[in-house]
Amino acid sequence: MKNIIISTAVISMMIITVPREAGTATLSYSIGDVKVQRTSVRETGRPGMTINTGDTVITGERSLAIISFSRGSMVKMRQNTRLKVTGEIEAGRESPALFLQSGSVFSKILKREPGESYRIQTKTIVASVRGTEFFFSFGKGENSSRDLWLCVNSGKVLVSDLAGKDAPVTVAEGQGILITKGTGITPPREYPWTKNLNWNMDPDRGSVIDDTDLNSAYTDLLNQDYD
Amino acid sequence: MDRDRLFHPFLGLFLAACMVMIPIRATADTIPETRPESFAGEGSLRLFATSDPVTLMAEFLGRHETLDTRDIYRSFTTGMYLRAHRNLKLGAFYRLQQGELHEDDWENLNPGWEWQSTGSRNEHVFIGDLTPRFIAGFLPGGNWVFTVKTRYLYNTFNDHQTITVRPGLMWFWIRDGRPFMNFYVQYENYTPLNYGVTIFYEQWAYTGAIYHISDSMELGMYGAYRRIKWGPSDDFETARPDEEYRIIHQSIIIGITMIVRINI
Repeated sequence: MKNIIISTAVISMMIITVPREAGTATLSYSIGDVKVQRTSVRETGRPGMTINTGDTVITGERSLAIISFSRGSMVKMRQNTRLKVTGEIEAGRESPALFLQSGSVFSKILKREPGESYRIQTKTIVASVRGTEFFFSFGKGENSSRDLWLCVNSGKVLVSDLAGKDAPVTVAEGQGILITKGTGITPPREYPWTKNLNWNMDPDRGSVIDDTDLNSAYTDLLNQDYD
Repeated sequence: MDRDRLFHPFLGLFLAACMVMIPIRATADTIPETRPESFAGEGSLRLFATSDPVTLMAEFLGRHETLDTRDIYRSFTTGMYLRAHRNLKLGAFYRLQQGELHEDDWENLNPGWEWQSTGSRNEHVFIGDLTPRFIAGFLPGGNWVFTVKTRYLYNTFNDHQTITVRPGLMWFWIRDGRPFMNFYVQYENYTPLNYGVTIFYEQWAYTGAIYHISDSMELGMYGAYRRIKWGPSDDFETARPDEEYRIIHQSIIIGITMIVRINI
């Protein structure tokens, strides 16, 4: 994986195109079918819409959404992804906590100030960082037995099993892990398929769409020659 | 007693016996002996370089039968697979081999008969391959792959054309999302198109396991049973046009293989 380092100031100028309240999250970019669910109301997501704690952002088929936080951290959601914002987002402090219900998310998180944090979790696994860029996604399987993939482009991510069965694992830059059936954490290692991921979150710098086929993360049993 | 009348019948019988025995003895020498079951050791190195949908392949293989005087069989095979469909690969290969034995290698040395030594004889074989593969989801545990590798071989040395069909079943032991070991069984039949005396000319039955050392290297071991049925050679048919024979050669083969894979 490439270690992509982008100036925070540059990101702010290129992506944030509408005024936002300090300390809030904003749906800064979208493609296709994007909805924002607030309690029982589901609205169409539009660039510039404020995302509040408790909101769930939903992307449909061939759709994409980028959520920007006031101090420059960003989250890019791939197609068919549901992401709920559960953490604190308030003026001067930013500790977003996200709940990934389905799909895949890229996170580019600037270094946290003292007392701040960033975490993204599923029902079984939580990944927390203090300043990094990583990809977190559901893989094969069904319901609570789905695999989870996490790979780090820069920085480090601490991954913990909420049930406490496995010791926390630190995933370093260039490495990835597979959480099999959502629970068993594999040792960090390099995965060739992650080289195909599109980490770009700035539409002005090129395409932000990532259409990496996650099936390529798994060995294709029908493509193995032994002769 | 009339000694002359007594002598001649015995002489006649003796001469008649000689006339019968000598041809029988000559016929036995002209037919190759059915060898006892032999054991062979086989080793191979296979290299696969993949840039989907194309996979280049090179193989070095050697086989030595320890309880026989046959020459060591050696081959180098190279070519490529094209993944035409998720479940189908097409392949084209060239093979250079030495040490192969064909039924026409039973030669009339005049006098005497012998299997020709083929250890330094180059044979060029061109191979077309069709390999469909399917996930056998109905089997318990998942990760079963059923394959039917079908090949057409043309040997330019003797113009022999052969179809081989090799159905096989392989189970993948997946750990941490990656193959850890494979276990397989296969059966292969060689059907001659323009030679031989039976459509079941040669059969192989294999069973083996492959250990994935890393994403790019695998080590396999296998056992195989090989059976070949030979009919009369050209020399025999010329010398004994009204006679024929069938002999069967069987061997047990223990093999080891190293597989190296790279993505290009």
